[in-house]
Amino acid sequence: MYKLLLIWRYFLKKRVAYIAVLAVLLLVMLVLVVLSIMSGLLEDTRQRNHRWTGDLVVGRDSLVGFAYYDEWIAALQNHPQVEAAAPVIKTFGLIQGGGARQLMGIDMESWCRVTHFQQTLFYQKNDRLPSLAVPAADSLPPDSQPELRGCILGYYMLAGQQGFLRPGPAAAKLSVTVFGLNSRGQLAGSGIGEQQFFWYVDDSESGLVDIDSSVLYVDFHRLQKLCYMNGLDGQPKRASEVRIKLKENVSLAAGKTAIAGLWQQFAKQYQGKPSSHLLADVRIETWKEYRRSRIAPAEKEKSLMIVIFAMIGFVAVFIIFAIFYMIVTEKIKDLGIVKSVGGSRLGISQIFLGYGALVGLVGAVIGTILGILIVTHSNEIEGLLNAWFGFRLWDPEVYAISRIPDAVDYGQAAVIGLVAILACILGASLPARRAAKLEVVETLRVD
Amino acid sequence: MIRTRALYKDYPMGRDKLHVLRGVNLEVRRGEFLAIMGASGSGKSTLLHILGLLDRPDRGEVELEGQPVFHQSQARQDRIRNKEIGFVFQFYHLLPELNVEENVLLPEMVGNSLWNWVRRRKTTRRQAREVIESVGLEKQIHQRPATLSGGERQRVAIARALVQRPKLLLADEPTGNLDSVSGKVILDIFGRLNQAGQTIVMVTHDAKVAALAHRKLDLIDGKIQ
Repeated sequence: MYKLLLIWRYFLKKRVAYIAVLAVLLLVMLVLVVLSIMSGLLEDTRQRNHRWTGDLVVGRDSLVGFAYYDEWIAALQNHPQVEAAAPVIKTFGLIQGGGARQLMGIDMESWCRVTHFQQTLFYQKNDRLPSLAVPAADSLPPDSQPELRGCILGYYMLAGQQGFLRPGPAAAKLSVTVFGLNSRGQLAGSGIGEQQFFWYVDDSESGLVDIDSSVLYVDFHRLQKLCYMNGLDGQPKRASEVRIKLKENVSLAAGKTAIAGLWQQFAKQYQGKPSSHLLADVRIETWKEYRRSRIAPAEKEKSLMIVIFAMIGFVAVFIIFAIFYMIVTEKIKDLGIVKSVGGSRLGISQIFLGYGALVGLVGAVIGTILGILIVTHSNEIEGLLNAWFGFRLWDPEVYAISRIPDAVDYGQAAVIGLVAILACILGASLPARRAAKLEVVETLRVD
Repeated sequence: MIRTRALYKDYPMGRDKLHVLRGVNLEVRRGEFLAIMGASGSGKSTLLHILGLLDRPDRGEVELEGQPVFHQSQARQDRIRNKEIGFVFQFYHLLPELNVEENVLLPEMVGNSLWNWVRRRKTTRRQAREVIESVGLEKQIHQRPATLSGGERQRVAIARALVQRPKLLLADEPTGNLDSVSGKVILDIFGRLNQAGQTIVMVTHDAKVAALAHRKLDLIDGKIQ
């Protein structure tokens, strides 16, 4: 009883304890706000990558691609764990006035089933099915195939001196030069590249800066033809990748294992057939593996933040230690008095450990509440700052996000609070040990 | 009641040792009021601290009711200090964060578990109030020590020492820090307590204060004369 009474009275009467509470409060609040926003950004980054990639990617690093993709897609479509599969051609092209860019040949219907591509489009977001057809077909040369001549630009490719300007569908055209490779990896055709005009029909903002600033989406078959991957050289047709969407209830790991097994059987089946050597080094990757170079920095940034805050946490523990050391020094006589009426060493140390726990508890609870309020109202706070001072914490043009992540992981908040309380107990433990070891007579001589 | 057998206590002084107690043999009978006198630095406070289990002798033993106390476990010694010995210090030694009642109740709170305290709270508080009334501080019961006079603080310290109804009351210069009027009030209280059967051992260097006791002993050069 006396321990609780003294803990409570010391807490109320010792102003220096309020500094310790403030240190804990600020630390908990800061950690919660930063980790919540970082976790939100990381989750956002993951989701954007997942939405753009699909669940699994089967393909080769080489621009030559791999053969028998149609048969592979047919095998995938019969697999019980696969929802959809889409072939992709990936290559690089020279764009007149725009330098080298990545070109992706997509089959719009299957691509939209595997990825969330349609939601990233500006004009065709709500269409039944987006299209690469050019609306103003009359403006095209009579020999062209308008349904194949549209292209979709990554949003950041629209950036110009005047900012982001959309020319409008079919109002601008790009000259693209592509260098095709045969199945042996040699330059195909004339060797000087194939030039083609594509009309802008839409743009895509996936939120992935590397994609939105460099990828030009065109029709799969047209790009396949430009790259000499369409089998006209007597070899089987080729694709760079096949993207796969798994069924809802299939986990990524289980899906990857199943598809890897299926691929082994498939590759064995085509052994010895033309271009079968292109099946040898095909990789099966999950979206996380495929996009690891883009996700890892965000994860590292979060880890770095945790390390930084762990260091700040050590500082907070040291502050608490210093404060408690001061309090013990000041309360030496009290400890002697308690011992003189029968208080045990354990009881004395419990007073200070309890005091530390109370400081931690109060700081952690208030810090957690404030942290949650700040995170959940971060967009309103940013709006107010913008209205009052014209200051934007998160420029959507820079961060590719329209809202600051404002979801709180309550489990994570509880862990942060608990760690803060434990840190306070740790900070109080050495002074408590010192208090318990003091001899009664020595302490009572202090006057 | 309490007996010491050849108590020795040294304090280090640089490379040398200060021999404070040199074989003190002492016996206090139940109901006795004993005054231990001596000059400053003669070791009388050290002797009282050892009798109150606040300090340990280098050699020798203290027996309470025939039982050697320094051979007992630390927990048992804490319990003896809590239940069987009351201590009144020259400088009162009250906890400034607690009011009069809470200071007086401190030994009760220390000696009981939370559950016991809650269960016996009404009885214990009534007993504490009776003790506080007996030292004439019923009006100051909710005041903090900082708002009391020296004499009042010492009366709170006496009430605290008595609340557990200890077998032995030890007082270390209880009037040493008080004016003569307050000192007389304190000595009156000691007189009344002793008349009621309380065993008291008081350390003082004041012959007038010692005159109140049944028996006087002089501590000279660490030995009882």
